[in-house]
Amino acid sequence: MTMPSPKRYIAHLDLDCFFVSVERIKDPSLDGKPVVVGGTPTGRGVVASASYEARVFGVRSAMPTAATLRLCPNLVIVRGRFGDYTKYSNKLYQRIMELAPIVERASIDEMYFDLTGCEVLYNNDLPGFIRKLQKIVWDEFHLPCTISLASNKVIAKIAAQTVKPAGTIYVPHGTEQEFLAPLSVDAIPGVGKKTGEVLRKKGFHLISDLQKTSREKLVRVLGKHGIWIHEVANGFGSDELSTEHERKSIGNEETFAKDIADKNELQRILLSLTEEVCSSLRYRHLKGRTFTLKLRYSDFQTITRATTIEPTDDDSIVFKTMKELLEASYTRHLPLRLLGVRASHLVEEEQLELKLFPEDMKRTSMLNAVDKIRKKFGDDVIHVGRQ
Amino acid sequence: MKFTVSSNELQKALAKVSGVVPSKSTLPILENILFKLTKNTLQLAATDLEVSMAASIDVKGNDDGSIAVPAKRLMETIRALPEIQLLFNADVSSNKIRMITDMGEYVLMGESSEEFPTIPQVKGDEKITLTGEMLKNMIHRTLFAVSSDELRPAMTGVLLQVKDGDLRAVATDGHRLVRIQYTGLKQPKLKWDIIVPAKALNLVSRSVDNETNTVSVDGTHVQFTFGTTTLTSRVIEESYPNYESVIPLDNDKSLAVGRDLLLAAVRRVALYSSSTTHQVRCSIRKNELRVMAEDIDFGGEAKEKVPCDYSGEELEIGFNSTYLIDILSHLDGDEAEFKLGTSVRAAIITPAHQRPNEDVLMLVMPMRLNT
Repeated sequence: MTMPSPKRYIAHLDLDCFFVSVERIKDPSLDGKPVVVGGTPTGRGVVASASYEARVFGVRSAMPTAATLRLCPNLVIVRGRFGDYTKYSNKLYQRIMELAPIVERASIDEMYFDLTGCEVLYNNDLPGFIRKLQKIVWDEFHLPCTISLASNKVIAKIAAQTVKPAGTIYVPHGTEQEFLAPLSVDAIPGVGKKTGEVLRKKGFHLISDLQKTSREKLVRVLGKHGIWIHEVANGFGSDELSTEHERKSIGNEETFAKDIADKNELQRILLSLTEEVCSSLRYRHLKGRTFTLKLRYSDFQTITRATTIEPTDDDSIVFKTMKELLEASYTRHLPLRLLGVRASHLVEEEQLELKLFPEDMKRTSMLNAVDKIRKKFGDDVIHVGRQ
Repeated sequence: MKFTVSSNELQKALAKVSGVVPSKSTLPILENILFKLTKNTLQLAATDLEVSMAASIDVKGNDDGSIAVPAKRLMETIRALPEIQLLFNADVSSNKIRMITDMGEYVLMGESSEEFPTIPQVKGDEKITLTGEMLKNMIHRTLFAVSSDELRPAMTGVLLQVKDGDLRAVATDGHRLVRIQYTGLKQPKLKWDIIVPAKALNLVSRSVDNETNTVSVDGTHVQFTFGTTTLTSRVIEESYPNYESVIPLDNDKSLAVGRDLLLAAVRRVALYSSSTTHQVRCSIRKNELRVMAEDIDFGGEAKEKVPCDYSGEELEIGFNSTYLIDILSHLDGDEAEFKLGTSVRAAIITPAHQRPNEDVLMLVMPMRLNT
């Protein structure tokens, strides 16, 4: 039985230069100065978070710290402790849980919450509530943030980016297309450098250009990714929040355009799913202990198989495990229509055991380097091989 | 091929080799046990291509020959039989096997012995002799620390090093390490450095009795011989990590504590640790060791005090309780000695009283405490 679903109100809270803000709480003399949190400029450290004063000089996240000093000689570089950020993020999350029924923690400095059904509670003025909430976050935590409100997660996310820092924005139901139309295609999450270029080459500069074209055409240009881009451009997106309880997992799955039986092809897809999950674990500073493989046969029979290993975020370890699960569980002589990989029993990286052998530490830096290269040049340019 | 044997004797011999038989193999022939009859001796052999085992028993032979017998059905049949004389009769041209007892007859299809892989034999005289007890103890105290991470194949086995008349057995998974050193081998000139797969050692410890055993090695294989049973395994041809370099030499804080007391305390407190990190916190001050754990997700916490002998600076150090429990339960004697440095430095744990001719050292990396 399904009920007609009410209008959804999804808010997105994005902490402005979060790591820097925490450092400023610890040391108020940093207020108003160009500050970055990141590695030492003499080593090969990179910027993890940059204050808006520093961004004026062109300093951005993931830049080598050494390069930022050339852009902004007065820049203050703070080493930062990840544990502190987790603590502040946890406290804020607890507070938001008191105010909204469903909260999803998207990352250490971002969360979504579902305010559907809370209209009466907040005086039938949800846009007013998000402004109040912004003040609460500042008064109680001294953390600047941007909050948006829209009908789904992706519109909320895009909207927040347009008013950062310290902004609030409401995109009313039915005005999504209108709101998106003038924005650049780069505003869509998932449109990176590469996709952006492809789109512009084909004459799609603004989201309005995407709205005018057909889904089929976008699929021809971008492949499967085109379906998602077309949906977002037209204001559709998920309003399902994964709460903290479920959020204890990170996963990725792919439904194939055509059913696949070829084992090599399936392994190739499995590798790319694994890489995305691992990269996402590293981004959130988490490691997974349980890894689950999901496969769906062409007749829709769906099988999930899980295995528990030592906590890891290492592509090759997870891929090896997933490959074994696939070999063991893909037993019917039917092609598959879907494969999925999920990591759960997540462990915060900071709390993990220290390693005995220095070479294990080197592997960690190697994986981080791989992530940076992927971020810059695209996912397919580099894969982690066997040692 | 034809012989008569007591069902009990046959069952005992099967039990010795059957541990090797893979339950599911891409090579179906491996799910068989090879029977080879030479006069009054029946040799049974099984292999998974990495590890092979062979055992011999006396039978009343009639007609020499060899055949591969399906392991599962054979063992189920023999296990279900009472003590009874059994006539085993195989037609090696058709591979049909008949087993006849006073009660009845069982027919099964075997495979040609020619299909069965050759069992490698270690030749040469590079061997050491150990008592069964020593071998069992060595395996018991190292195997738990072996890694299951197949991306680090070297660590999935136990390193056996023979040098200057000493034998060392080393196991590590990158978080903890065990090193057992035996002095006074009778072969002072031998020099080995081999990594024996965990599976092989598991099987050895299951089958070894208290007799004297020999361990022999050639370039690619290691062989354990006990009585009429032999186990041959491929060695892991990788270089072992430089374990010596990670054993701290200057841990200056000594803590002596009752092993059972601490083990029991950690076991209880660990029930309240986070189910993902298993972290316990040890807070050590003059003659007092406190073990604490908390599980933020479920709001539980536990703490216990354990009497100890300690006079160093106060120290807070976190451990994965699983590793600590493993180490304490594999350590000998009533008293354990910890040598500690800082809260991020490996802790050395040794029994306060070593056995004669033996030196045991265990190492565990701490966990970062989030203060």
